[in-house]
Amino acid sequence: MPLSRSRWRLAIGSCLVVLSLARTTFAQSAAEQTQHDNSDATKTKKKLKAAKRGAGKRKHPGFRVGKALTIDLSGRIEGDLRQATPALGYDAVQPQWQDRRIGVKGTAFQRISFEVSRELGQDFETKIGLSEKTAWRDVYARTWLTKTINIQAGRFKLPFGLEEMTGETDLDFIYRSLASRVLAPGRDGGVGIDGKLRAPRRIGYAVGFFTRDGSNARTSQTEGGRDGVAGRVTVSPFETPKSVAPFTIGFSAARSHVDDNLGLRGRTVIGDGIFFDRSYVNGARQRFATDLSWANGPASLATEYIWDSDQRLGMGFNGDNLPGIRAGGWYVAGTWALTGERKHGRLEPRREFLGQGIGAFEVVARYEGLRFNNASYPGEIFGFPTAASLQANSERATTVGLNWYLNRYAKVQGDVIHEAIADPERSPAPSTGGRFTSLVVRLQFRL
Amino acid sequence: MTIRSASPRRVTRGASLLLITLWAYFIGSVPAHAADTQADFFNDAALQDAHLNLNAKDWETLKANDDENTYYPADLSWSNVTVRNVGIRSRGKGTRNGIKPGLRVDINRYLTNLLFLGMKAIILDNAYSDSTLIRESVTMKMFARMNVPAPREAHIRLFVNNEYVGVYIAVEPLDRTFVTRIWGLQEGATEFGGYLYEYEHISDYNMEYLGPDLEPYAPMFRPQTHETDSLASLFQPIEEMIRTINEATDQDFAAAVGQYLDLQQFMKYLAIETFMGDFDGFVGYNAVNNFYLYRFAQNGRFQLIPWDKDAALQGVDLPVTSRMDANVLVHRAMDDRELRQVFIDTLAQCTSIANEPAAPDDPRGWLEREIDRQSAQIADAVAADPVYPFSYQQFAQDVSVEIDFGRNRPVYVACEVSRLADPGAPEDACASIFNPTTLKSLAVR
Repeated sequence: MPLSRSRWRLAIGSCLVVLSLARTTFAQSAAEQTQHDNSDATKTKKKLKAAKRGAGKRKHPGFRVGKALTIDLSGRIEGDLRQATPALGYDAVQPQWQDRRIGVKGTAFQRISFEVSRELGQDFETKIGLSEKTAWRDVYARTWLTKTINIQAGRFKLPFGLEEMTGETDLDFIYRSLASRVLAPGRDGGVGIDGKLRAPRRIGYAVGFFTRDGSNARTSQTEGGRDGVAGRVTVSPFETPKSVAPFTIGFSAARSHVDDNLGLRGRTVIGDGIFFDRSYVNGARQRFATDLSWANGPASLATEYIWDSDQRLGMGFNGDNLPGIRAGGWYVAGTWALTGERKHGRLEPRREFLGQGIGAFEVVARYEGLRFNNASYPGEIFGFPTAASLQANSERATTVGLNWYLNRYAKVQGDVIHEAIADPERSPAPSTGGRFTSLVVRLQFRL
Repeated sequence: MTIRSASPRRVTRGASLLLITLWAYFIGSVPAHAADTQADFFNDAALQDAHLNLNAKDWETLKANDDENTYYPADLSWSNVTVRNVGIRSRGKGTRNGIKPGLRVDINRYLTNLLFLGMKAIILDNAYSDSTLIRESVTMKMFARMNVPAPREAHIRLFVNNEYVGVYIAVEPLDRTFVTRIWGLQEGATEFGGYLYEYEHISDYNMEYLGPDLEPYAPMFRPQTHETDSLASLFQPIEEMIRTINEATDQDFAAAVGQYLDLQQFMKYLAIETFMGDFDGFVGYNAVNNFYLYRFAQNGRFQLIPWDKDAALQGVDLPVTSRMDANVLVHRAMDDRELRQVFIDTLAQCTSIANEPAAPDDPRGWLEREIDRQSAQIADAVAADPVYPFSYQQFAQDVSVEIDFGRNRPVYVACEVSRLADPGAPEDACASIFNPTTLKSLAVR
């Protein structure tokens, strides 16, 4: 679809608005700036401390009622420009909205934190039915019982995986890894407890029960699993030396039940190609993940492996069990802050753009894979589905990118993504042997 | 209560956020340009042109390996619409060939979000065995006029790499998109929608019970939705329906089978197919053939959808009860007085529609006019078709036979309706209707 002149104007307008916001927000005094959150599930303790520091030092606009209640407004808007990709049949730049989210976060009675956030529009994945993204995102309350136990209830992320638990604004790449997007659960309604053990203090845990098994595995037309139980443990084994202390190992596991519903499917990074179609599954869905992460100074490294298995109980001609559908995904990623900032999630520029400097620049790279194993089906000999669609297939993707943090609020990301799919016939680019390269630029503004 | 955000900077920031939010909404709500629609594409009032552009080598390979279902990337253009990177493959059963290949165009074969006028696929039917290329399109139009769900069709001139490759019929595929159009989003839903099966003619089959094992039913009823669902979900209801058709008592037949099959709709379907002289339908020379079976998600009942009617418009004096005895379902349904009456009433309705006048100065009924109109519309394109497997003389001659069918089939069926309504009438009461004497008497009436 060629980009019309009006769309071009709007796209350019978007850049100008983001830049103007960058200029406006630059004027914020440094005293107002606080450390950013590490994840969507902002820790209660941190919030309570922030509340004590007083409302005037917060980074979000909002209000408070004495010490009893503080409410911060939050928001995020993201737009993508995708370069023409002839191998896929895209002859012109593709503009695409991602998030347009608003919400509130706050604390009550110095013991409860809460968050409510909602999307104002549909992102690309929702529009094309890749995954179910309901308008309500995080809707939860969280209370701090002791130093080792927090209780959380509502709709929030199942504790599983490293990258999946990272908030969108803290991501180093425009798109999450294939493993996280396809195999990790995502958000759902449930209750959970988490905390850090006192002795040794460098062990974190989170476990929860959820009515379903995460929005990543379902669409508006598919049910996904039910009764999800998920848990995650992180261990930072070294206290010294300083360079290896940030080294963290994570283990995650999740189990849920799927009742003759459609399972997972292999998709490309941007999501407009399906290289392994979903099959009906019945029985237990099990997920395991392990991850390693490290950050020191301007650099960070992370790697993760996620494995999923869906049973197909009683689905054969005589009610016999069929072999399960199995998939595995992994990535290795690294980042380097060219302007020297300390890497701790999202970079905080030392000198903001259009003020004292040029903002912060960071180079990022990731190599990843996602594979679905062979899936036999008795109908195959009768032609349903076609035998080829049941064969194993996999994708390897390499992403190299540059992130420009204009200030604490605005970020521009540019990623070059090269994808290669083992079976070109089940890729979006059969004419180039299943290999194609996309260039995507994302403008992100958060409040 | 303390409100933060009193500073001008915060106000500016807030206003900017508001502005950007409104602007986001504006972008999302920019109205689309007036666009071509599915109705335009299947508008058979004019001959359409469609273009496929693909690697010339791929086109030659597709034709050379017409028996394979290998997909090739192509660009599809029609009117002002172009969709790039669609998948095309050879299709068809008896009509499959490498000279004028029938084509299936899967719009979202490679890109999951790609649609053509909201459709995920279209069929380009080569109508290779139909010398007039209109048997199917006229028949589907009759089904639609009788309010029986049927695929929409329109004739097109197909160009491949800008070279005219002949007259094709663009056919709406029977898939989830079709189900959604006819029965709504709930039925067309991916996971919880209805079950759609294409009947596959393996050997002559007349709805006999094949036993409790599900395996014999699988090759005949090929799922088009829920393709990887549990085999019990797919075939148990079919086995139960066929068992009930065969084993229900005469007194209980309609009630028992009616739990599985919409029998009223089935009799209507059967009557239309019979009226249109389909030699290869549910009671055709090949036993049952050329239909899709749909099982509703809402109530679990089955319904037939017509498919591939290129053997219709034949046998102007083919008795309406021809070959019915061989088919278990049909002969048992015809033994039920109420269902038999539905069949007779539908034949009468078809007759009425076929006889529908256009204008006082045009004595022809709708069916005759429609056959004439469609054949005239494609005549020049057929004459220019480089791979039309018949001569143009053959086309003209067969069209005149079909026009005769359109004129006289209603006359014959009207006679048959009278015969069926009279239990004492002999089986061959209408056999001599087209004798000169009988025709003369009909004209007097």
